[in-house]
Amino acid sequence: MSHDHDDHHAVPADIALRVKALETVLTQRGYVSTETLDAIIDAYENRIGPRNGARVVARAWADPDFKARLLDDANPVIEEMGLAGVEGTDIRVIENTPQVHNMVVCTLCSCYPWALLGLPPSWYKSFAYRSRAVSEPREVLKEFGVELDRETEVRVWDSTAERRYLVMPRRPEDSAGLDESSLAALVTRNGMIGTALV
Amino acid sequence: MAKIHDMGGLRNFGAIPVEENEPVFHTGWEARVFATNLAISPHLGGNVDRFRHLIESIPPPEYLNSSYYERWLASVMEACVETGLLSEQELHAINRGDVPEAGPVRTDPIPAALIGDFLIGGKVSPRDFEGTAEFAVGDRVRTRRLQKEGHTRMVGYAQGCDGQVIEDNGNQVLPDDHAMQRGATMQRLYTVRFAATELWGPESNANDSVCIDLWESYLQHVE
Repeated sequence: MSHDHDDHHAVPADIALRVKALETVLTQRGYVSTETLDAIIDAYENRIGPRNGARVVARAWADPDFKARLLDDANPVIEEMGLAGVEGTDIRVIENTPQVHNMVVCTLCSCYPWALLGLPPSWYKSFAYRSRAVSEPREVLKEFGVELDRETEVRVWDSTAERRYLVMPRRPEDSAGLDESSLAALVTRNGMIGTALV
Repeated sequence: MAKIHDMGGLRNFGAIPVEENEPVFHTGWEARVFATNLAISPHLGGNVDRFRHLIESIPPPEYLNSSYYERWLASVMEACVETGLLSEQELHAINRGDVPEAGPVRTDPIPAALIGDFLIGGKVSPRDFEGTAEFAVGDRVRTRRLQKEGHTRMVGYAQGCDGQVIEDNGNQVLPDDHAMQRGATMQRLYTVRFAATELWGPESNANDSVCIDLWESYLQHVE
């Protein structure tokens, strides 16, 4: 972007001031409203987060028919559950098995299934994760405390299109008899990115 | 060659910086940048590919020294200028922290209630399998080398590599055209699986793989 370089004498103001100035002008001219911005922030701080994805995983653990539909084509299932939304209009659920461990990254930006997991944590957006997840996933997993044997395939999914990936972790062996909400409590955000076991 | 955002396989970025009990937003301004981007997007054409292209156009030193939401701010400001919402002079004023003089007022801001529905509880994208697919599931394919100026989702680390098509995802908007304002060209999107050894050499674990979503024009047949 050339603008900053065109204007050599301008020292950019503190970022909070610049953001405030932008919001003020766009509000004054009627492009956005303060209420709309507040509603968006409230949604992601309070309503749209990893509990959404955990509900999907828990139901799949509890109901084999649901799981089969979900793995075949997650989209109608996600829509029925009211969980389709921005950065989550084309979902693929990928299942961890004893043979395959899945892990999700976006090397080019930081694509992430917002509708199911909320906004991504800083580490997911970090240059370290974006650069290393594809080339040395086992080293990355070790930093998260996950060590897999050499025979298990580590399958990394680089989210380069508008499809968003959700990992279905393996159901814990000691979870027999738990109902869906108790199962959902076991499902972690990192488990659904693939950087943790559950 | 690739631009700085094309980070897959780059070295020396160190350990993954994990922050325990991280808040959704670290500061008030991060939240406002995020929300402003979403709310203004329909007035900017709603083109996420253009949004990404503008972020990728940030010069490398600035890209590397700015945070995620600082890059978002740069992109939305640039998009406001190129769509005529703000002038260059107004951009400079904002960069000084000043609110530009009064300008023309729209009377149709997008209502907050509508935004709430749009974020969650909506529809999934319709499937589109019109036309013929050049590749079928199971085909061996080789990625093309795309050393171009504009925008592409053909990641640098997998260019010139052989893989196997594992899914035909139907037609999707080609970002290479859409980001450069050449329209919403629909093109087949495939998921292609590459062996880690093909991408990174023989020292990689022979069992491991990387799956990447790639458009038809990124691929060619392997004899």
